[in-house]
Amino acid sequence: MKKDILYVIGILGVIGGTTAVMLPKNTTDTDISTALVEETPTAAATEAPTAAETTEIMTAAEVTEAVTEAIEETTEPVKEDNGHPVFIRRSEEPRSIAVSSSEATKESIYHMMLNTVDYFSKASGTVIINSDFIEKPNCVTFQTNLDTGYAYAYEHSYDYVSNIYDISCNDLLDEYRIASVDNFFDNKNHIRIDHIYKNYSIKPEYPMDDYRIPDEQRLTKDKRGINQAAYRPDITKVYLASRSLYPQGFTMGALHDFDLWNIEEVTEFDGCECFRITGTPDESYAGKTRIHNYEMYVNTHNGCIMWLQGFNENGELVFYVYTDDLRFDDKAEDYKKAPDTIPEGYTELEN
Amino acid sequence: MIFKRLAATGISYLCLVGMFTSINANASYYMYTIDNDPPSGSPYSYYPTNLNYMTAYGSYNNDMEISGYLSSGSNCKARYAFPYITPISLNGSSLQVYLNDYRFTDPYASYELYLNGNCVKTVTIDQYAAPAGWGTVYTAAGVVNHNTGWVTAVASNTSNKQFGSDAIQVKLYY
Repeated sequence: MKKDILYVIGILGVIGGTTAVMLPKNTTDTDISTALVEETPTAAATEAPTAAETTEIMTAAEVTEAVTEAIEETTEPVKEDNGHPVFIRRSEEPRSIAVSSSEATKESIYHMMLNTVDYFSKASGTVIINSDFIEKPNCVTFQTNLDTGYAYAYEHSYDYVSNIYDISCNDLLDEYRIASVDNFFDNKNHIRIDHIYKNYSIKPEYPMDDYRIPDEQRLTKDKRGINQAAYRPDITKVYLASRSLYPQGFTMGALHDFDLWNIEEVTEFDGCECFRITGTPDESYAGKTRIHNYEMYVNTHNGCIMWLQGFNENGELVFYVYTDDLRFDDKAEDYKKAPDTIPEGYTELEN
Repeated sequence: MIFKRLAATGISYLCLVGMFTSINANASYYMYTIDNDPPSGSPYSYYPTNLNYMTAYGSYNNDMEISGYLSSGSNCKARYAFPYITPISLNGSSLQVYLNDYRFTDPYASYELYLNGNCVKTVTIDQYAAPAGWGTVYTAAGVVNHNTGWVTAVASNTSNKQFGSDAIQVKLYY
């Protein structure tokens, strides 16, 4: 008799729990047409206290074990009661150490590439990426210190390079330069000086709260199959270098399916130990970026992309990331301070 | 023992349900959406968008409205203002950008969230490398007596890029 009761309770519990887990955990964004949204407990919630009364039929250890197992299975984001992630202070978080390249797995590489800023404190160098026109590169020469928040980024673009398959700083000629902008960050102000348009702006720096996101919650789909990509804030402040320094978008888009890429070898690239990785993105990411297949070198110590080429289905180069003299931590250069005065003749832009 | 385990599993699920609904019950927010599919004839219809997506859920949402657009030289930005709401203290916010069209390729378009006239968050997204769909960034900033707000979308102006996205959405948690 007692077994029968337990059996019925168990079945009802499983049905109720499974149904509740299948229910939308939150109101989907695009469902809502009104501005004010206040979520209310679902009907399933009212069943919980009743079920909880039955906990006396188990030992405390069994309940703990069962709940722990169920929690580990869920993909609910780690959030506070107000629906937000748990925010962290960089100074209070221990720095992450990459696993050795010989022990690295796809999971560890994916995690590191999503969270590169946890693996280094300083960086400097030049990052060169394509624009809409493959022969017109966008470049940034920078120094950044993630611990202090100080950074310098010199953005420069060109309307021609001779060889799109191999670009270094030496290939960027002044006569083809079409953009030249200095950016200085000192944790108080962002000073931007445009040397082509001869103007400048001084804006206060805004809060840069950081938080961690479990890897399995980075790229999810809502009930309609629409991607939901969760980003951490770019605390490098060198936004034009994010495709190398903090490649969250590419990593989520191209590497979230571990069956679609391979670690070809561990090798040296530009003085750094790197994973050479090749892959073929899924239809969604290929459609968005036109990258049919790609090859890249990823720093084994921090997950930064040192070199990447992506090709369309016709074999044409459509996406690239090149770096020049990219250095980290003790080898990185100190940041360049802002000038005491704005160059003469420059006009101030309204903010 | 099998029955005990079965019961334990079911109860554990129900305990989780109670926990999640407790979280949801506290997660109240105002939500504002602006999409980039303005009515025909609008001076702001600069960019093609994924009309199939937008028409399924309202082609033009007036939760936010464009209150300014500036494009001159290397300075291109658009402002989307919230309507007035009752002053309220906020616990935080999230800002989402919807990207689908492959021509949204600004390497770091930024989206600045202003509350009570102060910028509480700058979100930057590499539009070229971002997966299609919503990209979300959160902020912990608390704001007391919020009553005005807007989002300013700013192009990086790299290689003459102009701002563009399919939609922007802001949630203000209280």
